[in-house]
Amino acid sequence: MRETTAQQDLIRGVWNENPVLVQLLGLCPALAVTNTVLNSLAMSGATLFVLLGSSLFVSTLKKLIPHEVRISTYILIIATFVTIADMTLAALAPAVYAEIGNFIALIVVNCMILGRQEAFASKRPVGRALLDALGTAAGFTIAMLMMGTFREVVGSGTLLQGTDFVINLFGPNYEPWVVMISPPGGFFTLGFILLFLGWWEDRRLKTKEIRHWPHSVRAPARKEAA
Amino acid sequence: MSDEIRKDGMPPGADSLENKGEEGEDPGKQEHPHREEVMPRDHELYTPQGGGGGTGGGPIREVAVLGDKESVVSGSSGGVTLPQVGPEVATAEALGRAPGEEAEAPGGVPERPEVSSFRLLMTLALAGAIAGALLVFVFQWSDPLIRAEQARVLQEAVTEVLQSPDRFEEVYVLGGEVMAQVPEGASGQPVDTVFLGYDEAGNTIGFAIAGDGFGFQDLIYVIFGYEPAAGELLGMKVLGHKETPGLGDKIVKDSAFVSEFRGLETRWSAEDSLFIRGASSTRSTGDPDEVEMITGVTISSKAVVKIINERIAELGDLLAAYEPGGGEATGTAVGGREEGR
Repeated sequence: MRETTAQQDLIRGVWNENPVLVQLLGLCPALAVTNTVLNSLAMSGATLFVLLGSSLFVSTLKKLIPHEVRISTYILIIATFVTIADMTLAALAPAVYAEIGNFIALIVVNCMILGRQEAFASKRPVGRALLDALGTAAGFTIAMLMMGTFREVVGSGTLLQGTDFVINLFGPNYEPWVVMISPPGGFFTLGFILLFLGWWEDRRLKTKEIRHWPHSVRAPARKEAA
Repeated sequence: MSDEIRKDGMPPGADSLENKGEEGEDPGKQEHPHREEVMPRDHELYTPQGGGGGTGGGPIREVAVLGDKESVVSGSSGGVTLPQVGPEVATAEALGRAPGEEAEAPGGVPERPEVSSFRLLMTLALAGAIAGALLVFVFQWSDPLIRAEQARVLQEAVTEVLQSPDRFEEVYVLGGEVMAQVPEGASGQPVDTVFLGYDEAGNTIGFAIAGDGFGFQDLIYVIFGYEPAAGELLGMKVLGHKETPGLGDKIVKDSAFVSEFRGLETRWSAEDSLFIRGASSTRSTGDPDEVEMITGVTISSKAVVKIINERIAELGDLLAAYEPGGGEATGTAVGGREEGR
């Protein structure tokens, strides 16, 4: 196991190993509930809570959980926190719950969360596990907001719909792209985002290669001299 | 310098891996010095592709390529640095990261002490018990809040569809009879609850009736205000639905559609056995008993009209004949709609 610093644990999940955009985990909520910014935020909040809670427990109890039943126990812990999140959201934010309530229960099977427990929290100290959970949840939130913002702006022509700060962006004559707030729009959006990021990363690597080209050319000459 | 390290200091795995890329032996390397020096650079950049060692799963590779920033940076700083960052190290780095760590677990700890079934059982039972207990507490806290919210939503809906009554009370329909109170011993039978609204003078305004029926995807829950004497609808509100966002949800969001139900007249006709009718915008005649469907939302808007029709057919006559017990509503005309049937 490679040693990492606390800072790396926190930062890693945010962008470089973003759970949705790089690891392609947790796609169900990313596709299903990102039709408005508010829904994306609520889902991210619930996921943050579940991730923090289950990482805390899994990391604390890692020595007590026998290897053979670890997955069942992790799922049990995750399911408990999901149910708590479900009830809390229903009690405190009924309007949001009415829209995304069905998908809150599905956080249980979000493999991003189980993946963090199995790969990280079950092997590291509590503090590191919490940092990792925070970073992963932040990365999840970033991805959700990217999708939610794009889909709401194009699909409804608004921003922050459902809150008191709703902004109507294009005026009354805008004809919304309804497909963008329906499930196919989620696939389109995610596809375009991944396409762009892949192109960007490819370009970055190529630039780096070209920049260091002189070294590669010089090196053989040195070797021949020796 | 780099030459020496390559011959002596290189880890054993590194050689084979490099050869794998080259597909040749040592003599081959000597003949193509340029290629050899270019290869390491590729190798540093795409670490896991060279050093897969049988664990070349798709996700692992992707994560490592994008995420292994340090190895990329350190590799590029010193020209020919392949010997320092041997493929084995780099592979371990790539595997040491999530989600590649999974691959390490079975191999890393090969011998695990036997755990008794009893302990496994106890662990799960204990975890389940604790989880259950925790959920009981959260439920006890959240349940009253959720119920209060549901009651508030219902009250708001009744107020809205009855056009702000002074007060309203629950009325029960049980076995073909309308009553102000459910009699003792009737707990097992299905009770239909409607809401009777009064104005300031104590006259009845009308009934708020809830109903449900299938829309495009799932049940649509509707509540509407109905004045049996004049046979007039007072308003309609969708309580819950799972229709397509952006399309079907216009039955809630389209204010023109919703406001059409206010003041809509019911007219029963034996031809179609309907009280109110839905018409597409092109065929709309503007009759007072006609609701204009939303274009593209035909199924959902028709479902709303159907639900209201069914509920009026079911309860209309009963409610029209009902006189509230208090006696304050003596002026209510009864049977104003009867000639229709």
